[in-house]
Amino acid sequence: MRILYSVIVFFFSCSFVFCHEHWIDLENFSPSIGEKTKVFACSGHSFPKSNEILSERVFNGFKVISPDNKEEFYATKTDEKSKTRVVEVVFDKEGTYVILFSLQKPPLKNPLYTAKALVNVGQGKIPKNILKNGLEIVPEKEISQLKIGDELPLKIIYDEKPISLTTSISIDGKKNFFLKTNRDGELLLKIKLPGRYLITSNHKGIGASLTFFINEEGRK
Amino acid sequence: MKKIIFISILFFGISYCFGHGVEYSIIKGGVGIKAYYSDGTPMSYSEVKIFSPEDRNTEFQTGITDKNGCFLFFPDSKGKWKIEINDGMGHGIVKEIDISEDLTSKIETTYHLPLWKKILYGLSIIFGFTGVFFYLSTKKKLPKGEKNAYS
Repeated sequence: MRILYSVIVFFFSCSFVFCHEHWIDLENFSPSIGEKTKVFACSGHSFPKSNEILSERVFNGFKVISPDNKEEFYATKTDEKSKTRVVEVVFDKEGTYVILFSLQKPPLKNPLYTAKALVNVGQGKIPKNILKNGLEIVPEKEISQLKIGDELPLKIIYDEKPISLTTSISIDGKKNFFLKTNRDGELLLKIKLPGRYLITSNHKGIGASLTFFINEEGRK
Repeated sequence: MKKIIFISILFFGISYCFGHGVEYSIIKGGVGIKAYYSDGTPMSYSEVKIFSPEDRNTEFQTGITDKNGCFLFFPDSKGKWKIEINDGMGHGIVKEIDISEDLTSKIETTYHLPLWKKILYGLSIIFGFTGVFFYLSTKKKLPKGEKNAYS
């Protein structure tokens, strides 16, 4: 009977894993102050490797929010080798930076997908929800302070209200699993491994992703 | 005579004012395609490129699908026409269609399974494989010389 359950769970998991996701990757998720780092817009089925270059027609460019809440917009270049859109960003202030890109099909007014990444330049504050509409995955604990064995509380918000959804979690493409939020859109993610974390969710055809990095040094 | 010259000038003057007049006619026909994702959602507002049989490098027509994932074009020759639809987010279709002498195409559709059928088929496969697995594992457990009641 256990085998049967395993096969059924595997069958349903596969359909989630093969969903097309979009995310932000960085050359270095913890740059030092003033360091120039490449930021990539990725797309595909096999995180962290990008399989598709996002079209210019739907890609709205990168938005970088500095720790003092200043927003800067960056145009990107395509990189055929890594199948990404790429830009170089200088992180010149200490704190947590939020990088965003959204995908929007003209003439639709709202984005269909929003990808978000957190970059730690030294110690930072917990970034709050940024989007006024659409789907967003919000961490409720400072990422830079996370260590292996800690728990990261996350909240899923849709149009500024918490929503109960299933999320997909991938750690450097080596470990994939699913977590469901409670009624208040909250879930607890146990940090067991170092590496790049990708959390994704979808609701009514609108998707969101969050990427961040847990250092090997953070191992307790 | 002066009057004739004056009317002629007025007449030509007016025609110059409306130099690039535009007229139209509502037409029938065309070849249409409807694109949708595997879950049945229309591939709305996606980029479309149409290539004629004679020129595969320069688009015969470009545009976007409508809200319902539909696109219509008017081929001007028979042969294999190429249609490319790309949503810009990693999903796309490349399709060649045969256009006949009368500049029409056969109606065709990819078989789209509803979700409940996909689940049913998936479960059937799982139960099928599980049945074979348990049958084989039972067979192995029988002592030498003894036959399974069903064999």
